[in-house]
Amino acid sequence: MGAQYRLTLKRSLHSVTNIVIAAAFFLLLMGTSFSHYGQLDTTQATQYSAYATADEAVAKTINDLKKVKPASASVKAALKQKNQEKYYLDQITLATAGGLSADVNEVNKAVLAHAKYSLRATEKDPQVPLQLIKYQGKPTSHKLIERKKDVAVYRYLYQHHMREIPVAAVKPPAANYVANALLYHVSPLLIIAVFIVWLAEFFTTDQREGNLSVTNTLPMNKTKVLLAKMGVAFTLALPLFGLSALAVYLVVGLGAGWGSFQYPIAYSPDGQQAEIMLLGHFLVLLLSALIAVFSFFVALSALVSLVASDMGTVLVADALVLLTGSAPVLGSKALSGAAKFLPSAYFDYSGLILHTAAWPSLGYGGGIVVLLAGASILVGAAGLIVHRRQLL
Amino acid sequence: MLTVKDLSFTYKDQQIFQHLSFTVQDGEIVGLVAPNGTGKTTLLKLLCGLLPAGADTLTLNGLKLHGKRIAYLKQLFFLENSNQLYQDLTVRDHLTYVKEVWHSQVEITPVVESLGMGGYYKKVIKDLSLGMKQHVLLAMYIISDAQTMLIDEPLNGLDPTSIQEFEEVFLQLKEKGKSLVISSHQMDSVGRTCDHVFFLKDQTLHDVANTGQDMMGVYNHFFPKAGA
Repeated sequence: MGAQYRLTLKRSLHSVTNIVIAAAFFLLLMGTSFSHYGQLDTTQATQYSAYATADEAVAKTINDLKKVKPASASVKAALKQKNQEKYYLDQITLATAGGLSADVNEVNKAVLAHAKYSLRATEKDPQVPLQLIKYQGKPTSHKLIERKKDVAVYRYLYQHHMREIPVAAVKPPAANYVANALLYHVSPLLIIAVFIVWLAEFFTTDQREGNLSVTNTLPMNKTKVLLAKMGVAFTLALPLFGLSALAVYLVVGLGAGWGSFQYPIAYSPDGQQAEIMLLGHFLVLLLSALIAVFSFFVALSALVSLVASDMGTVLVADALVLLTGSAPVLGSKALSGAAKFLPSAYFDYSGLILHTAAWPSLGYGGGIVVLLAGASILVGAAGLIVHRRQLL
Repeated sequence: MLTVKDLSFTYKDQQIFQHLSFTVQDGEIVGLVAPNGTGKTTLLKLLCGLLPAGADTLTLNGLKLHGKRIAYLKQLFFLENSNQLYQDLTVRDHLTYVKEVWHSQVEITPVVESLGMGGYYKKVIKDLSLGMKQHVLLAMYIISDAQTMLIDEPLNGLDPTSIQEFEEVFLQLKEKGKSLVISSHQMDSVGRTCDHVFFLKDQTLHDVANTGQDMMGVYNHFFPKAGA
């Protein structure tokens, strides 16, 4: 099997598709950077402006409430709440008054205090009309768990003296850029789609180049030939993605700094408690999830290539399976509770890691197990076909 | 010894072979001759399991293709033509691969030197001429050290010197006890190298022993020119 692996690897190293796919990964991940090309970095100003806007909105609400005569008990209560809210927003405005030279600890302290107040107010009354700070590129939500996440993030930033780097930052440092791209900007399904183009091309190489007869007369178990191919797929495609991500990290890092893999991401494993995941940890989990998803599609492509002789068919089959990982399919009533047992429920690796999938899930570990179990079943089916007909 | 018993093959409702039975002894060279499109390559593909044959049809040194496929293929080497070589890989890659997969004891360097391939040993296949590729194919057969070699039109694209060289190699392999089935249109070469010649006509094989007769004459007997 070693000789077969080496030969397949050598053949595949020469494929132009490797360059095309690496370029596709690079361009996808650089998309946000390209869209910000030539723009001034107004991230901090935009951030501070969001605080000021929230403060002004609360001030306006207070003025409106004061004009209500006679003030009912509910108006008085609302006025009290808004005054408290404004106090915390004023603290932020004060802390950020220095603009770009504002002390990061003071800003974090004020924003954390506001987040804590918002959490207390929401815990007390889930319907409280809080004036949420509208960060660019970040959807606002009045849910309690979101307030908990805010507190968790700002507490971490305060404790570690780190400046907040918004998701929509114009020039985020490299660590944040790469993580944000994989988490928010580039759909996991799009990344997988690029992988399946490579896989469809790779698993039909013999058919396309007319070498299948050679493979079929080899004095070795054809399942080993298939496994050698799968091994090469892992050796090449995943490192291609890794190299592309590394190239993006370097390109962004040289222009915007490297950032820290200790930067926090807030998530909720159970919908009740907020926890912090560091960028480095997120990327490690992402890599593991990506390997599991990739394993599934490697096995699927290997299986389909046994019954379909052309790249197009393998590509279409893979793409159709990929589409079953989309929200409309997994969220459909037809699947109901069964969705969590489908590998496609875990194609969205970002949602899997941060527990944000909108359909039932077995969690990160369960998702990995389902993906690998699905891959094993597909490999088993491929092995059975090869064993029965003794030909690839 | 390769034993074929009652081999029939139909492709798209067309009977290609009917009840073929023959043996190829160790240390024997058998020619396979027929006009283009008659089924020479199809027969070779059947013999190495690329096309489906009956369960008890093919036996190689006591091993049936059905049931002992890997051991059967270990004793056999067949590469249809030079187009099936891996275009982006070097000659060295091909020879090393064959040596490893067939677990051969034959050393590569002496074979490369004896066939005069030193000048392009490290070149990729797509940069080679047809004659060079034919040499690569022949080297692969030698290095496989397989007991039975099925060789499809090996002399295509060769100059007369190379044809002589190939014939010498075939005879050396025969001396080592290898069985060779060589399909060819070069009747003079067939006459110089083969012990038997299978003329493929009307879905069956006509076994003609080589007694030094004019093989072109025999060919014309089986396949007379139109209007003759």
